[in-house]
Amino acid sequence: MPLLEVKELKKFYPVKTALFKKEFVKAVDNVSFNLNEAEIVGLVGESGCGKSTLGRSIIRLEEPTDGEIFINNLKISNLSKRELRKKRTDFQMIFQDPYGSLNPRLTIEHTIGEVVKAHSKLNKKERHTRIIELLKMVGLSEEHLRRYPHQFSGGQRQRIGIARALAVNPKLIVADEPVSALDVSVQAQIVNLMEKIRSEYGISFLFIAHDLAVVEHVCSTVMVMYLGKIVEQGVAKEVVKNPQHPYTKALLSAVPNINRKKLHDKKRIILEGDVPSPLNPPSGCSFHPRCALATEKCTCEEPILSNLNNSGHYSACFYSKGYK
Amino acid sequence: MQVKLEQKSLLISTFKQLLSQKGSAICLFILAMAVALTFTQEIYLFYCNTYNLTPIYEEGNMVNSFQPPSAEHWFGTDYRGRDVLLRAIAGTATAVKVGLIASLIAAVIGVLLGAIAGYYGGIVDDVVVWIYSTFAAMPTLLFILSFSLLVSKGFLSGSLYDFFCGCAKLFNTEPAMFAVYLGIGLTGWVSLCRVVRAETMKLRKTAYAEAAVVNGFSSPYIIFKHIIPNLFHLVIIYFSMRFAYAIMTEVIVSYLGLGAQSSPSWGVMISDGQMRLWRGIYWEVGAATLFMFVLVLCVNLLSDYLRDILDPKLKR
Repeated sequence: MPLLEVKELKKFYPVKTALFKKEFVKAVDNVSFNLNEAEIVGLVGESGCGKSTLGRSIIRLEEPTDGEIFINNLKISNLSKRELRKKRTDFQMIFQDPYGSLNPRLTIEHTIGEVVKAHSKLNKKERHTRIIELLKMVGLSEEHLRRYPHQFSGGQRQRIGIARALAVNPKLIVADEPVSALDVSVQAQIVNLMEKIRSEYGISFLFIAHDLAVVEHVCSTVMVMYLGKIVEQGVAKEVVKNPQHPYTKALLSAVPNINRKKLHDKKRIILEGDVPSPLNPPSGCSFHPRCALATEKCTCEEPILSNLNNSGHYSACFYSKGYK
Repeated sequence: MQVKLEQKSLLISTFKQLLSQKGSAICLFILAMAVALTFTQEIYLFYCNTYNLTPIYEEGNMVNSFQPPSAEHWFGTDYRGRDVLLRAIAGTATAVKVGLIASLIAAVIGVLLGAIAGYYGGIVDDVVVWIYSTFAAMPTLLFILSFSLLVSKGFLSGSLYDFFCGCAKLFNTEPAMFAVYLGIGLTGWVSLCRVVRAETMKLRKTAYAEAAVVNGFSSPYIIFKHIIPNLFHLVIIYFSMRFAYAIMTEVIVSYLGLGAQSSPSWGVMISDGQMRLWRGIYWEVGAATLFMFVLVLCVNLLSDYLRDILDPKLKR
């Protein structure tokens, strides 16, 4: 039984293009996936492809336009505001910007304490021990309690953000590009911390990133998103080693690698142009204007996400091996 | 854009910074004296009422009327032989009281409506914007004048008038003055409301406000705990600006004979004194104007200093 089930999730933003004309930006279009307990699933794609919107819709920071979300068999997508507030302990979020995610006027004790206080019946002393316990879980110590956010580095703030998310004992954490604002050395620390939390406490992560190298390191499954749709999905190692969708290939070839020559003797794929406007997505396969393999078929017919040779490796390209 | 605060409490750090500059320290000192005077005056009035004494600024002898400034009466005496200096000092208390209460009313309305409109958006926002646009379109002074006219000249129905008298008693003042408090308070919140609304719209999109939503906190909790504390510098700045404005408005309304009736007021002093200016009796108008000038200048300078300290956009 998967922990998180997303079924045909859609998030459209209305845009007034003319006086009486309304069009929709399809930020997330028909996305379905499952996430198991104690699993880290990676979600990659370039900026503006809708991966943050997907993450935010799952925890209902944005109201999904359509589709169903189940967490632990509980339908999250149509809970009322009040019920949702009580259930929020099951799913938490870590934010991209460690500098904006902490209230500058509250000490760390306060920031974490208010969450502990709201969701438990601990007394003051027990709360204090709980806060210290949470700080130790993320590699901080008691001496940091009375400090204000501006006295911390970016990596430390991200740890505090994680501690705040852990304070309610969640089952799922949506990490919205938690490392992209950090130094490379600090990125590794945070990623390893997430892996530690997963293995020790059995918490699942939806790890949103745009760096495939980081995702390969920490995730078991990876999903590649393009223009609001998932174009490739599979076991992380397999997708990185043997990408099937031309977009994934292009993404991978953009990853700098010391041993490039050994690994890929192919020429580097450079994508031309920008992501098309989600207001008027291209007909057929939305990737066809930038794709090297595109043929007539791609311009009129839309490929579906298909299980290649029933291997659990999915791709939405007519020219993937095993596409049916 | 990141607002970094080095000190713990906003108020304490602001005070420290104000005291570190000569100009702002002087202004702060004068204002503190005026506020202290206001509280002393309230206590003194209470004392006089309990023991049925006449306050010293009301004591006068017709024999001594219109005496020029001398060692005994520094600013001379008025038509009833009362000491002008004492009346001007008592007038300070009246003015500061108006300033404090009226700008407090304005600040509370402005912050609450602004934060609610900015946070919830949608129809709530539309309604608030409609209300403050209506208030912004009204000529402020006319509104205050008609409001205090209604109360002081007996145009209100009996029960409503009793209610007003009760409220006025609560603030230890006369009904007409209470109408001035309300009038200034009800018209002064618009600019603050606008700024708070805009700032709230910005702050509710910050990651920490969203984190609070994800953590399952209710909207009112987020507004009071995470949003208002982070825009409080704006409240302080606008409060000080409103304060100076409220003092001046009180003087104008009292000058026109609609505000203070029996309590000492600079406006009443100026209106009394102007009739005898042609006879060379300058001291009554002079004293009131001088006191008002000093206080309003201090408050205005102080609000400028506060803006320099608190507004992140002006920070170097």
